Amino acid sequence: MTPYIVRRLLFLLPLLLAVSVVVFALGKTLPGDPVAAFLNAAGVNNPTLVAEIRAKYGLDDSLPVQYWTWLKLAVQGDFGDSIRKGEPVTALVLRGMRNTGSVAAASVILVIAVGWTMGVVAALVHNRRWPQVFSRFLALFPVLMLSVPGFSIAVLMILLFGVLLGWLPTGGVSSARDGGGFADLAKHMIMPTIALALASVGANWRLARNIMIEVLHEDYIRTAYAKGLPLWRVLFVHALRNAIIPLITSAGLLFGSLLTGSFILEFIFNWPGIGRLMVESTLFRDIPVVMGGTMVLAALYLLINLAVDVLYAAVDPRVRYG
Amino acid sequence: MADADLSQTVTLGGPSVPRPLAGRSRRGSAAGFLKEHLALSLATGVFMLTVVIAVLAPWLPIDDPIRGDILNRFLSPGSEGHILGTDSLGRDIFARLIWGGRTSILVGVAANLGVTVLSVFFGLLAGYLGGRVDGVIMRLVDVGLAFPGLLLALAILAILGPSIVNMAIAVVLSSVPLNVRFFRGEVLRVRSAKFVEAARILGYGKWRIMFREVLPNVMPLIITVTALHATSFFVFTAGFSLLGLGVRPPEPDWGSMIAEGLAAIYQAPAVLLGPTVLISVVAICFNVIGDEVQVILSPTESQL
Repeated sequence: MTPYIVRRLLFLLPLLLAVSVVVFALGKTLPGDPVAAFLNAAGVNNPTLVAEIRAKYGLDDSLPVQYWTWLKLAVQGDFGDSIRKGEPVTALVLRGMRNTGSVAAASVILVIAVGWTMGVVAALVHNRRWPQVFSRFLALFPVLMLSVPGFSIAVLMILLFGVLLGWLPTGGVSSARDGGGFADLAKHMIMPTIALALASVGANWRLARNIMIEVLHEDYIRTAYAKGLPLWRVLFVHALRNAIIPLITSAGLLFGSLLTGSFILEFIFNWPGIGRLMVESTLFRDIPVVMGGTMVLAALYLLINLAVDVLYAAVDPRVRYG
Repeated sequence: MADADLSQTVTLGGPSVPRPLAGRSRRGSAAGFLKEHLALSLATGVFMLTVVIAVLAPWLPIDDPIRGDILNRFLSPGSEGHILGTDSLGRDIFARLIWGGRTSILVGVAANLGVTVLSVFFGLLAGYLGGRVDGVIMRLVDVGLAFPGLLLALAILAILGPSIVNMAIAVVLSSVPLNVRFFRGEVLRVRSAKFVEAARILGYGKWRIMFREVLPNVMPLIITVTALHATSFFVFTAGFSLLGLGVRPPEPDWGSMIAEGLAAIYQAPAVLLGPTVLISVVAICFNVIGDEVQVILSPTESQL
C-alpha cells in the first residue's frame, strides 16, 4: 500500500507543476503594469520610481526567471501580499479555508447522514407492497432537491427564517451582541449549511437509491436473506460493501461542488470563507490572492482525489494497486 | 462544476432492471407521446412559455426595465401600474423580470451549447486521431481537471474582467475538460465499430469519417449530456451574475436582480422573490427535460 501511495504522490508532481504554470501564466496575462497601476492608485505618477520598483521586484527579468522566483516562494507558502488588504495571501487563504471548512464539514455530514440514509431507505421501500405514493415521493423528492439552485433556497430561507420570522441571523459568523460562543456560531451556520448541502444531499440520495436497488436485486443478497441473516446484516455487511464504491466517488466529487457553491452562498450569507475571498479578489482583480488561492485549492483538490483513490483500494479488494 | 452532474446520472448500459423502450411502447400519435411523458411535456411547456414571453419582451406593453423613477422606490406589489412593485431605483420589477429572462436563459443555454460543441470537437479529435493529438489534448484535459469546480472560471474572470461574454467564456473554458474526456471515451467505443472500418476501407478521409460516421453515432449521447447539463450551466451563469461577475447593472438579469434584492432585503423583500422563484422554476424544468431525454434516448438506464 505505501509504495502505491508514494508512486501516486510522485505522479502528482508533474501535474502540480503544470497547474502552477497555468496559474502563473494567468497572473501574467493581466494587461497593464501592476506597479504603475498600484502607484497611480496611491496618487503617485513617477516613471523612474516605477522602473526602480520593477527592477527591485524582478519584474524586468525574463518570464522563466520570474516563474522560478514565484515557484520557489510558492513552495515555501509565500504567495506575496494581497493588494486589497495588504496582508499575506497565505494567511488570508488559510483563514478563509478554515471558515469555509466548518460549513463544508457540516454539509458533508448532512450529505452522508441524510442523503445516503434516505437513499437506502428509498431503495428498501421500492417495490414493496406499501402505498405507491410513499415510494414515488422518496424517488422524486431528491430530484427536486438537486434541481432547485442552492442560492434560491438560501434566499427563500433568509426571507422566511431571517426576515419574516426572525429566528435565524441573515448572515455573518457571529452576532454583534453576545456573539462568539459555539451556540451562536451554530445558529449562523444552519442556513448556509443547508443551502450548501441541499443539491449534494439530493444527488447522493438519488445515487444511493439507484445503487442499492441494483445491489438488492443481486443473487448473493437473496442468498444472504435465505440464510436467515437479519436485515441489518444483509444491508450493512453484504449490500453496502458493493454500494460504497460509487458513493465514495461521489463523496470525492463533493469538494468541487461545495467549493463552487461556496462562491455564491458565502456572498449571500456574508460568510468570510474562501469562496467569498476568491470572488471578492476576482472582482477587485487582487491577482496575488487569485493566484495563491487557486494554487492552494487545486493542490488540495488533487490530494483529496488521491485520498479517494487510496480509499478505493482499501475498500475494494478488486482494485489492485496498479 | 459539472462534477456533481456526471456522478448523478450518466449510467449507460449498466446492468439494470429491464425497462421497455420508452418511445416505442405506444406507437405513433403525438397525443400518446405527450400522455406518456407527462413530466416532459409539462416542463417543456412551462419552459417554452418562459422563452416566448422573454423573446416577446420588446413588444409587450411593459415599462422600461432600466429607467427608474426615484420618487416611486420600493412600491409594494399590487401598486397602480406596477403589478409586482418597484425596486430600489423605482424600476418596474415585472418588466425587469421579463427582460431579465432574456439574458439569463440565453447566457445559460449559450454556455451549455458552447461547452458541448468544443468538447465534442476535441473529444472527436483525441478519440479518433489518437497518437500525439490525443496525448496533447488529454494532458491539457488533465491539467484542466486539476482545478476543482468553477475555480478556473473565477481565475480566468479575474484576468478578463467581469462582463457577460467573459463570464460565458470562463465558464465554458473551465467546463470543457471534463466533457472532452467523457466524449473521447465514447468516440473510442464507436471507433472500433465495423461501419467505421468499412468507411476506412472505402477510402474516406479522416474528417469525413469523424463527422459523418462517428459523430452521428455519438449524437444521442451528446444530446443527453447537453440536456442533463442545462440546469447547471443555467444556475452557474445566474450565480456568477448574482456575484456581479457577469451581467453588469443596470442591465436586468435574474441573477443580478437577486443581488439587488439582497441589498434591500428589509425594505422590500418582494424584490427578491420574483427572480428566485423564476430561476428555480426554469432550473426544475431543465432538470426534468434532461432526465426525460435521458430516459428516452438510453433505454437501459436505471433511473427511478
